Amino acid sequence: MIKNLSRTSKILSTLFVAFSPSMSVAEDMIQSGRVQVQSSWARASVGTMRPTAAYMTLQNTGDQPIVVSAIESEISGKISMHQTVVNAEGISTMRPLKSIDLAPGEKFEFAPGNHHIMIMELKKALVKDKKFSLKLVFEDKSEKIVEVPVLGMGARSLGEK
Amino acid sequence: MRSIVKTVGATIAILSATLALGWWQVDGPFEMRTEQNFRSSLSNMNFEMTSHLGKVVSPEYLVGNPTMFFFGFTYCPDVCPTTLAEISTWIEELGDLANSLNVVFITVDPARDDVKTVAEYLSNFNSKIEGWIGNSSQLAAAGNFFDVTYQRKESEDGTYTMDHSSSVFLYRSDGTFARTIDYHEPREVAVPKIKRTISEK
Repeated sequence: MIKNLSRTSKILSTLFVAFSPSMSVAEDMIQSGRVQVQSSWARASVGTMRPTAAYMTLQNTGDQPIVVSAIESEISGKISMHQTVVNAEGISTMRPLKSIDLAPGEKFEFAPGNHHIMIMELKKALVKDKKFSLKLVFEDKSEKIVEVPVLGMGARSLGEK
Repeated sequence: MRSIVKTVGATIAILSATLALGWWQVDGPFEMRTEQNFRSSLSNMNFEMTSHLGKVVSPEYLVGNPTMFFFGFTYCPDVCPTTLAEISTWIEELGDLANSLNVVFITVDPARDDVKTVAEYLSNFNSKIEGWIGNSSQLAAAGNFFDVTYQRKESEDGTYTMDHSSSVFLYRSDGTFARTIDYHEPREVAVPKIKRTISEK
């Protein structure tokens, strides 16, 4: 029995050694493995009845294009990517973004007053100093989980408050 | 030596030209012509609304102190909280100068924004900011006087947002229109504009 166990573990470790290099290659192949996410934060919500927004910076660290096709989270049934646009007459409007294309090396910034991740129909309020997770879904169906700290409603960037 | 003098001279010339251009655009004759003459004074704005504290309010009642007006709605996830946060920092930077200043946020979405919601929303920002809620005809009157556009825009998912003017409107203490602050103007431009409006009695 003991002999069996040690043999099993030997086989397992051999398998692990044999497969780990190819696993990191696989990691490079999928889009979620080639994106770097920085400076994520969300604005605290007014209860659950009002939408709020999350922001972050994405960078394609690989040498192939990446497409973010959706953003999901357990905290909300409805998350979409938008851009706030102010026209020449000073009228502000929101334009939905279907997806985000990132060329190799390219950076994309979600920031207040411009591109934002709109979170509607919250299941629970986003409370300052708490965290939640968002899932970036890529064109190849790979996914990346992002931890998002919640800042106060008056916050304008991760650096302040 | 001569070339240094030349360079300094050229730099001064460029700087002065830039400053002059800035003055001309911000509060030079151009502004006077395009805006001041056809904007109503607060003393002519005879509409009433309810404040987030439940009081009856009207622009007429604000004459005597300088006033800042802007528009938005609480279902707005990005531009409105960003503007409110920005304005809160302007008020902080003004310090004591802001004591006499009225700061008014008018909701363009009275169908969803009631007194209680606006009060809760504003509790997250500088306490000088007063929220005004009107019914649709009061809001239409405000829209006309301020020359502000707002429009309901349906989303594919059955909800709606409001497109609206994102400018901030500054009025002198005598109620006359002074100038606007546009959405993308930085604090370094916005705060001097407010100071100037406060000083123009």
